[in-house]
Amino acid sequence: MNGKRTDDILNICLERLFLGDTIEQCLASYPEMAAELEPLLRTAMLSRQAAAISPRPEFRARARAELLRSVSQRPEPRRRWFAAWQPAWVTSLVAVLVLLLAGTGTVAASANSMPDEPLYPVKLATETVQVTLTRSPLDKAVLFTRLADRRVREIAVMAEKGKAGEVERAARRLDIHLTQVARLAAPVGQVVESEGEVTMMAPAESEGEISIMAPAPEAPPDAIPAPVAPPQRPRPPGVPPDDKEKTRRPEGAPAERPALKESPGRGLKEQQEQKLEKRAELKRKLLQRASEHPEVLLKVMDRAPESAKPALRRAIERSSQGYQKALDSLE
Amino acid sequence: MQNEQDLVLRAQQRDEAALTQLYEANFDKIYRYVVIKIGDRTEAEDISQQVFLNAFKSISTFKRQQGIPFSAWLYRIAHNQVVDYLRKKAKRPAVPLEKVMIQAEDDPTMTAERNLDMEQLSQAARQLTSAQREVISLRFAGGLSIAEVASVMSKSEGAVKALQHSAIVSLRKLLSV
Repeated sequence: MNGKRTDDILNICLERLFLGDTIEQCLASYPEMAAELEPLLRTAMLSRQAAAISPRPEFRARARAELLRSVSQRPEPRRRWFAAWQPAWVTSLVAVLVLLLAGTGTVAASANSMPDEPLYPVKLATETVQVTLTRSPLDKAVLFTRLADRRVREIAVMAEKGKAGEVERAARRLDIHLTQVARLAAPVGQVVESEGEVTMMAPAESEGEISIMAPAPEAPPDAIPAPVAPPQRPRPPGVPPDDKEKTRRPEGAPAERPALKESPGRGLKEQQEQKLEKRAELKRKLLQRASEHPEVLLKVMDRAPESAKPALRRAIERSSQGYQKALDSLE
Repeated sequence: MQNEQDLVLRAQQRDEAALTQLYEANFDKIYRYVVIKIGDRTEAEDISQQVFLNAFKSISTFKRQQGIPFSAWLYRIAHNQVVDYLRKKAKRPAVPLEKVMIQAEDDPTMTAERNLDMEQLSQAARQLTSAQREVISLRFAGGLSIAEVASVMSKSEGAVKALQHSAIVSLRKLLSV
């Protein structure tokens, strides 16, 4: 009898037994081989039954707890060299130097690069510079909205290529951008939730106090979410208030807007009107993208390979939630 | 497999729920695989825990694109862990297989119906070639398909089927089933 055929038939029978067939049912399918197969199948089933043991439940539970504790206690995975050591201002400085050294041609060429392309880090560095050089919080919010557009395009392209990891990373960046939009556009004191963290908004008009998370150059898969301003903690009894706290409004008191500097030739009212206009424009853009982006990504879902679909689904979810969060903050 | 890939991506971000699911889905199988290979349940618990500790520590280095599923990667870690353990225990005398065979022959009429236990299976498996033992451990203890075993062992499916066949024939002789 052909050895290869016996190997195959034995395996077919084993698969059937594993799925619930009896030995007799298998033998009936191969009567000419029954005498040879029968003892082998019995041996295999006995061996499989013997192997069906489990660890002690208490050990299993303890081991799981220890493992999770061990993983959570480990230091965060190392970020890539570029992102590992720098405070935010160093990122910007290095980015500026990179751009100067690389030249405008490289920057221009990187503008349309995708996450799987060599120039993509240059694109991210350029964006970092743009964010850093944009002073007004509302202008920053508008800029982050534009960056969100780019991330959505990247998600779509990467999903079509079946690159689930890149889809995840781009979606994370998208979430960070939209969180920043929410943060920058939120009225003073509003709480914005972002991926499990709850952050009290810094006053939107007080430039310099806003925590800016520029998109990390070539963020690694294990990149952590954007650093955010920590929630304000209650002052311990007996500790005098610091200067900042003295100016903080009491709970329940109406929000006080910081006094706006009156620029020459422009009245306070004019500046306020401009801000209102910008906020209205930002809201229009966000409303438009809130409906467009999920649609764009849903269309990609039909064309994307199966391997990228779960990541794409999560990206759609993040996009919807992110825009909702940003829009809520504008209300 | 797609779910597994999802879980791994989340686990790489230290998502505790994903890590727990990966643990729940694989711990018992890895444990059985280790028991068959070393024949000691208590030691197998510790080794299995170590397998997961090593795996979770280095999960960020796992890439699906390398062509092996996460479970296969886990079995490779388990295999290495077992090899280390056996190397350290090499001087310890093993229980002779004759003991198993004599027990089986005590009551020939019960042979077909008797319950083989894990220790007997483990002792018999140690008489197989290392490749046969690997196939038996992965197939019967780990519950892997032929394709998955082939992936773990870096062999063709045909070779794995042939090894499976010869392993079962040898086990039958060793266990007098």
